[in-house]
Amino acid sequence: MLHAAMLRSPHAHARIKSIDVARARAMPGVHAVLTGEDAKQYWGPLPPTIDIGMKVPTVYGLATEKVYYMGEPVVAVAADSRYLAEDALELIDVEYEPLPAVTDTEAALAPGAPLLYPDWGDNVQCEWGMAVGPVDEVFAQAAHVFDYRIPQHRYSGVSLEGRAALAQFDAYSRKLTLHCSTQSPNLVRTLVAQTFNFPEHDVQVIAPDIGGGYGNKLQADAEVIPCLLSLATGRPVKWTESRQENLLSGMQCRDYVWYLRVAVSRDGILQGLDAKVYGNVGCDGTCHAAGAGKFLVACGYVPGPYKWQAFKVSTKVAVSNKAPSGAYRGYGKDIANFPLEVAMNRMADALGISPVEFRRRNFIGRDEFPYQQISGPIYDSGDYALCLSKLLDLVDYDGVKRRQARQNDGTGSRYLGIGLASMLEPSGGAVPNCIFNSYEVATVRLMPEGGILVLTGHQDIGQGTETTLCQVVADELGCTPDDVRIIYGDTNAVPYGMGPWSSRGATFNVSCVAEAARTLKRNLIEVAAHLWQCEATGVDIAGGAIAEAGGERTLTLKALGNQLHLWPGAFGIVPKHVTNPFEATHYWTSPIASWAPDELGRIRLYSTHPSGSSAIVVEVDAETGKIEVKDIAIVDDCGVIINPMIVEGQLHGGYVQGIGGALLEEFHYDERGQLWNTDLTSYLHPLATDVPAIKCDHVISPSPYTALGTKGMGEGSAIMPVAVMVNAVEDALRPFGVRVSELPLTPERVIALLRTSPRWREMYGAPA
Amino acid sequence: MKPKSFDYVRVDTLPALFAALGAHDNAKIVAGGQSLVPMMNFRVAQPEVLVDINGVEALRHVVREGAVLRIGALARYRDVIDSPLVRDSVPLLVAALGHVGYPAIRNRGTLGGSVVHNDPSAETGVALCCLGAELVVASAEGERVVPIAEFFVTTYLTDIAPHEVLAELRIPVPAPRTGYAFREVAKRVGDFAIVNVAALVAVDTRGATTAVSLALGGVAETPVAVDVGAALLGRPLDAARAAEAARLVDAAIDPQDDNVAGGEYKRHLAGVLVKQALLAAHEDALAKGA
Repeated sequence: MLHAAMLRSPHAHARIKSIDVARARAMPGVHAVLTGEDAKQYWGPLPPTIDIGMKVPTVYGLATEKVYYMGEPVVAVAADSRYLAEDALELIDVEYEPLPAVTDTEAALAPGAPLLYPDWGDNVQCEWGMAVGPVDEVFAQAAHVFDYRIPQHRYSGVSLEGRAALAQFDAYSRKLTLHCSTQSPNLVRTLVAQTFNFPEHDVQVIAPDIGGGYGNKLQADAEVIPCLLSLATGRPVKWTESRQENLLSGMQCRDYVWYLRVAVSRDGILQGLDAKVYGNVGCDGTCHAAGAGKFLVACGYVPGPYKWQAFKVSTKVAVSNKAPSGAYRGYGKDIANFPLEVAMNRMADALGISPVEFRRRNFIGRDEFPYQQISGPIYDSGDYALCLSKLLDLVDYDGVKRRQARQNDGTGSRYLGIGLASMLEPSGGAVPNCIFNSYEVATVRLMPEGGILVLTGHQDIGQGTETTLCQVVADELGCTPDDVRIIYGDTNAVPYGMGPWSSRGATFNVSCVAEAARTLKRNLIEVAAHLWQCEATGVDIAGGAIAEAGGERTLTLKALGNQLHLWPGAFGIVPKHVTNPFEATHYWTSPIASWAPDELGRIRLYSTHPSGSSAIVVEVDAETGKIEVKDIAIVDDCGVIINPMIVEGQLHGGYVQGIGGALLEEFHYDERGQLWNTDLTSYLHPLATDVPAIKCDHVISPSPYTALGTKGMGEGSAIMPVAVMVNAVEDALRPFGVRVSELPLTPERVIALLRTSPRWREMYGAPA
Repeated sequence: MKPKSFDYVRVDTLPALFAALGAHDNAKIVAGGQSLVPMMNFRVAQPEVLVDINGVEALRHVVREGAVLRIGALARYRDVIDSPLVRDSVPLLVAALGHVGYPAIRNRGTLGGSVVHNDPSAETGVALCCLGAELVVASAEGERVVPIAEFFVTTYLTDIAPHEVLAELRIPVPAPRTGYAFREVAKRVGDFAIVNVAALVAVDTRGATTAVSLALGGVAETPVAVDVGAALLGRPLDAARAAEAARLVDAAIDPQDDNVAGGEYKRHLAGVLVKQALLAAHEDALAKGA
């Protein structure tokens, strides 16, 4: 087996003038050294993953004429060991002509900005927008109109395991096997086949248990490089991404700025929302990964859980000289949630209403579901006001407010604050003209020895899919979870499904597995009834056995499996009208998603709409700027809960990631496009010492649109915390009247913010 | 993230160490490896030979001789933090080392390694500067003793030659009625400090300050000791005196922007932490002097 290493661009934007690989090729132990030009004999450009009226650049797995971001792979090496491969990188000479770089979103969109793709004429990858209702009239007549600019910085999932790939091209059979750390083996197979113009059925992708994904592993980007090297050498080639490589080029996310205008009536009723979001997808938001689509999702969901009379939204998605942008726990739902939930608190302040009361006045009511939001989606179910009420109890909101009044009297330097926000988490997305277009499939099979095998296109990425699906199948088929095995992660073993993204597990995946299990159960009951010459009605499966009504005659699943497959075999016991008693396959599509525009031009992308509220209590040290998180409380409504431990695990994990985004995590690019934090001593995650125990409570509003009333819930917890943290810090620093304008809230940024307050300067200013 | 190939030699005695250092041009001593090994993986450091001194028992001692605490350069943070001798005689050092990294790092990393590496915000160097420690540097030719402030040259550079080894830290045990404090702001527990401050304040029986020592990390290329005696000596230490001392510090430092924080914020933090540390050290001294 050979080991791959990649020479990466030190420049954010540069023309490649020459590459000299002679010394590297001559090094003993080196088997291949390929530049982007060399690679063109094996592959074509990276195919787009999404194209909704977008500009699609011609870019390759290795840079050709230009490099577009710091860290872009330029030369690939395969050698006998990773050590030798990295030695060989030091022998490669690349001559670059540096070009002006642009990293800031609005700078990239400004006239005269350096252009990444000069033939585009600008840096706009896509634009999209819609308007519904009498926008101008509502704003002209509103008692209050609020304007906000709300940006968010770039951070991402940064999973425990970076990317990893082992490519094995067999020159005799001309088949390519790729083991890789991905969330979606089937999508990767398609994208690899497209990249190499290879017959898709001759590509096998195997994804064993992987070390986390969070949305970052939903494309074939650098994974094509070990494939290339295996094709070139005819030998297996392994690449394990280092942490530095992962931070430089693993998919990044967030990075946008909103402009919101909100019209509010005299009595605090939301009337009109006019919103623009400028997104930054780095060098590209479709070929390297499907980052651009999240801004479309953001536009659809910025109205949140509230009622509106008029709505206007638009997005402009910019390319810039930063690493490519992909998905990360939210994919636009986070972008939708953040600005409005910050604005809700600021508007409540301006109106002299509590943020709780302001939300209550504007929530969609529990009796109004299914509710078509003004932007188009149909919200299936929920009780937003109940979530908020439960939250107030869980976090002891009134008690914290009383403590705050005592503590923030100006005698100490630690200021107590509480922030809260509501959350809508559309889950189970279906985006047109995109690899995220969504359906899911499962086969549920009765084995000869009575065990149940589930073949799923879904993928376990640490979120407990195996546990959850075993529970679902055991409940449907009347057996125990121990009787069920889940097979996933091998494109040659499972049907073509799409994998875990958009919190599809409890929408698409659970629904297709449940439906397939139900079909199998019906057929097995028909077989048993035929054997016993009785009516099928009343025959049921429980405790691993089929039983006649009244329970006189029973047959274990093992006995039935034996009879069906072997003794005597199917022809002896299966009635004519049952065509397949062995297994059932179900393709599940959302009954509520629709890409046919309605009379207002609106489409519907999501299947279910979980919701919730959360709160954070902080203490801000006005002298050092340090924020201490004192308490976290979450109330979640994801419909029917299959496994409470898994649901709360999702809430805990996602919330901590959100705390990271609010306080610590940031890809620190300078204006020349140099990324300054490429290791985990400088790209900082929350540690156990940064997060208190998290309290959770639940509201259960079953979805009418999924097989079990469940809703996907893997992202909402990561969506909320950034807005909640901003609200908490602004609440704590109320005596200084400051508004957060930049994230993450490092101690330095907090002090910079406080410096703008005359009162703070008087109390804590410089000693001189 | 793989190092360049290197040879490895393990030595158990100082003579063997000096022989190994003398035999190779580009040799590097490895002890705890907490800074060196990552630097090798990043290929920032590319030694041809790694000389492992973890077997040199002569460098591992923690003993007190009269008014001097002698700590072998190979003593690990954990050894020092857990030592009752250190806790009783130089508690400032224990307080400072509690901020070093995480348990895994403290179990493996050595005080000598930290001092030789000279990350300017490293707690070890700041505490030793405040304590006025001396360093024993050994080679085949013999030993030399260097005051710590002279040992630190600039970031990641110290007064030690390729054929030498840092053998021992000699720390004067503070006089009775000396209080201490260590204050630090880092982004997270265990991270490199943005700014840290070590303070020793001695008082007489009436509570007036008789001696003060103050050192800061993170504000320059090396730990910085600032003489604030003019503001404090001969009087009880109160908030106004501490603020006066902070003004002296403010005038003495010129922190620069770096990857951790901006110079302006570091300057602000230095003022806040100096005041806190001096007041806390004074309070501690009063408690000891009663």
